[in-house]
Amino acid sequence: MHLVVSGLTKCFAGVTAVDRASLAVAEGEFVTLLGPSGCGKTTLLRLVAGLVEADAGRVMVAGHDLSGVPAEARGFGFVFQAYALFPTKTVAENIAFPLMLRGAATSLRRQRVDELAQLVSIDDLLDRYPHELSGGQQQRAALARALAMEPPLLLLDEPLSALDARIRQRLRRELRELLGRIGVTALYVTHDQEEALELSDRIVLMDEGRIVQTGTPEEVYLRPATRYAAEFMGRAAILVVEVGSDGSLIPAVGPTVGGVAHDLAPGSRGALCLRPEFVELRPPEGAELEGVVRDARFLGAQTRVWVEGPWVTIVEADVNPRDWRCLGLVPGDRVGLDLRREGLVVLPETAP
Amino acid sequence: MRHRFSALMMVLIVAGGVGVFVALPIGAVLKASFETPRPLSLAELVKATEAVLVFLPADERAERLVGWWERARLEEQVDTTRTALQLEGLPVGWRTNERYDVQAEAAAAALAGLPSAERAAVEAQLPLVNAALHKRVLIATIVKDTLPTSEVEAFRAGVVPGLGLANYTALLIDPRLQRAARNSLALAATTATGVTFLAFALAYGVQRARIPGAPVVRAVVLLPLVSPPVLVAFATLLLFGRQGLVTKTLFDDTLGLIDAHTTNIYGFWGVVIAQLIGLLPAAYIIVDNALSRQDASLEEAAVSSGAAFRQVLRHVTLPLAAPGLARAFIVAFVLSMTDFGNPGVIGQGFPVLAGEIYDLIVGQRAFPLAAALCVWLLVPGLGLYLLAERAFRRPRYDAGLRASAGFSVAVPAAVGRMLTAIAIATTGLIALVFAVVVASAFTVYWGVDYGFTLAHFRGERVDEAFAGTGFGTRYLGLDAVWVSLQVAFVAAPLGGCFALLAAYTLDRLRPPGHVFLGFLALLPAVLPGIIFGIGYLVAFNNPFGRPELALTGTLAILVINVMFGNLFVGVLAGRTVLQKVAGGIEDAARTLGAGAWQRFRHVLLPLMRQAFLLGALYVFIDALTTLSSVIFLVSGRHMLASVLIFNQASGVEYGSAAAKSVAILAIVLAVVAIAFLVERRFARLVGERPRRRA
Repeated sequence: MHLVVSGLTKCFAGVTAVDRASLAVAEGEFVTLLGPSGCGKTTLLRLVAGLVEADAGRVMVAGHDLSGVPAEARGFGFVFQAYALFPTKTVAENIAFPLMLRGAATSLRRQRVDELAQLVSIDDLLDRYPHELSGGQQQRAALARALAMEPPLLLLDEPLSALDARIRQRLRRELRELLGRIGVTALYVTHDQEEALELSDRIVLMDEGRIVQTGTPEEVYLRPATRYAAEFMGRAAILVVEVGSDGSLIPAVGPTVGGVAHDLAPGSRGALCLRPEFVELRPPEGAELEGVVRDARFLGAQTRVWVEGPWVTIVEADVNPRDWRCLGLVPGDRVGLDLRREGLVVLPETAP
Repeated sequence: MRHRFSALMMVLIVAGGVGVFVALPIGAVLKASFETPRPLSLAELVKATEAVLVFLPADERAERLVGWWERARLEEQVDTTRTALQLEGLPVGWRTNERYDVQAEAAAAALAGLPSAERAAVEAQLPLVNAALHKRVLIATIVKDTLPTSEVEAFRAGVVPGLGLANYTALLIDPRLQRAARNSLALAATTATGVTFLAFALAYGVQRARIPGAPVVRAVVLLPLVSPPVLVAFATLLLFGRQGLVTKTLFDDTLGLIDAHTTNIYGFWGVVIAQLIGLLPAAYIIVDNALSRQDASLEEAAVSSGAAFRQVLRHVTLPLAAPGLARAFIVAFVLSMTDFGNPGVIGQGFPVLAGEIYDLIVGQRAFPLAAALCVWLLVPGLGLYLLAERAFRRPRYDAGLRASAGFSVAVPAAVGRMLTAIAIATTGLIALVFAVVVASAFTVYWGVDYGFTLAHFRGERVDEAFAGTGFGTRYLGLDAVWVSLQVAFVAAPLGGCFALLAAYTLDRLRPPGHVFLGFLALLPAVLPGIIFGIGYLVAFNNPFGRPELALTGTLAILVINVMFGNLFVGVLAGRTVLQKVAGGIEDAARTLGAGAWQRFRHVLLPLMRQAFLLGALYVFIDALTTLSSVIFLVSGRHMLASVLIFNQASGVEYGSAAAKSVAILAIVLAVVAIAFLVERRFARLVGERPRRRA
């Protein structure tokens, strides 16, 4: 493993920001730290960068223990959310800054700056000052600067979150393509699960300073390890159930759901996660379950329907708009629900 | 390791600089204020003399003692004999209030009447006792190079060092000091009240009543901020003094109405006028700021609920401005209390405490008493400050940066006219003050010969009246201005750099104790210059007991004093910038490989350009215009123009003082203008304004 983090812990004024975090990243891998704000993902990234000193645990890169090595000596690239370009330097001077610090010759610097500028396609902006660039251009410049020293590890702290939605999506694709091309190992922080799914080789899901689950995007989305993971990775209605003797799931009110694969012992409590795209609507006759339509909204690619389910919970269903029109239902009508078994996840429920 | 090293160095430089050049002198003043030497008893005195005499060559010692005793005058012989008898525990058998020749006979008889053993013991003591009583000054000069100065001084005075409150209680006992203290309080109260009123009238007029020529009013009111010291007092004398244009030339010589020698402005009201104008800029800035931060909508709300102008003023505007007015009052009060320049020039027959302190130091070198009086000087200001803090402890009703662009409350025409009249009178007076000083710089002898001359600038003598009197024989011309300029040019860039280094270290490196260090860096801002000056004198005359490290009498002490006395400007400006800079920029620099020094040098320094310029400019102006702290630190070889202006204006060398004032004023205004232009050009260069390039 290229980057190995073991048991990293950091407290701020009694609050544990990162709690015994361990992970390993292979060379050339793109790993995302995902979680809501305050979950410790940025602190973990800054611990790896050396910007924050760990209370316990260590960071190893290519077999070297980095304990006690300050950020300025680690030689990682870091891309910041707010770009952090030096306002009194031109784009070229910004990119050349790390080279300048290491006393690189002027001609070498110019050559490297040109290469990097071409790589991120800002070669026509080199003489501008940061305040003369758009947000997207600034972030490209910041990326070029972070890559200037060919870092063994690139750390990115929500680099796209300050950009507007359109540019964010375009830059996301470009970033993935670019990093894949140069083959740099990257650790990426975001709170946007869609971004994490699109970019990552692997996702590290965090909550309250702890790593909750690590896996490929499919694993984390389809097989969430906890109820928190299920709720964070996408929309999910949660139904608390008891496991029957035959393995069927018995809610407090309403019909029992059978035929769902799980490994909970009979008699224990579980949480059944219903993702909207795995709920199919059909006429009530012959359906597995029955509910009442509360509302339906057209969202473009799909129509989202809120159904007051057989368990008194509101169940969301994402359906094809054309199919919904064919059903011809309005709020108040009865509707049938089919639960697609491959999308159902049952998790142990700890709280009563 | 290398990465921590630069941070450590920066912390050491800042802590060392602030510690040695701020904490040490101020601590020295406090320590000195408790020094109350105890007089030695006669027996101790003899013992001390014996101990000091050891430092005389052995062969000389006895010879000198005997020689002194043999050459002793009659009264010295009598006193010596009496003391020797007392020391031996023998009765003095004669009346000590007789004439000395009578006493001498009685003393001889008394000696003769003693048993021979006792008589021999007393007689053996006589030379030593005589030396202890009458030759200590001489002995002190002989041993002054072999013993530490403080010990020699103590021996000469016949005291031992000790600590006590005597210097503090002196103010409560000494009627002369009490009178000075009462005068100081009366002066400070009058000046502060007047200045605060004037500042409010002007600021309100400029901001709300839209009086005509508002920008001119602002500029003229702020002019004394950059003017040489005591310029206003000096100009007041030129107008209303014994040689004054109005008093002598107009009323006395021309109209014959008064005798300018007896009827003139010297005294209380003269000082008040001088301080009013001199302290107006500081008060104006505070009040102007307070008024411009008020929320316009509050006054509008009052008007729309039916309040008339006077009610708005009374219930809305004034209560909101009250904290600002209180601040202005306190600042003016403290500055007035600690000002000795204006009372020194124009306050004849009106002694103030600050002037007494100045006399104690310059005349008597009585540092401990002066130091204690300095602490007393701070007491009323501190008390007022605490009172104001209590009174205004409530949320602030600032409009923040929402500018008060649209104040629509109409000011009645009569009030507008009154405010305009005040503005015209004030600006007129200030303009007159500066005009008179400029005119006198080109005048042969003010009040006597109004002919035009450039002699004052060239340093030539213009009047022979004082030839041979010792008055005005030195320091003519502009030589001292060049010395001041040297100090300014060395201190300004150094001060600017050090301030930024301090700001960065305190704000970003945050070494242990950084809060205290920050407090120390700001301390000179609130401490009167007089204390800072005395502190340097006490601390650096014999620093750490090593005379070879002494800074007094050098040019360096002036540079350092001006640098650290104004450090706070650059530190505050620098920290303001640092607090606005997104922290990410420094993290970015770190991840790119920049250590503490490189981050400071390459990333933050360019951003703090304006703070540097402001800090340096403040040091520069202060080097040319400050009086209170450097007056104790100048020496014959390194004389500053500001000190000479004070000396010459309080003497009678008006032309010479005026020429220096004009030169300083011209230099300061030119430098401020250049700084402004350079800054504008810089701002354009680094693209602080939008700029497009293909």
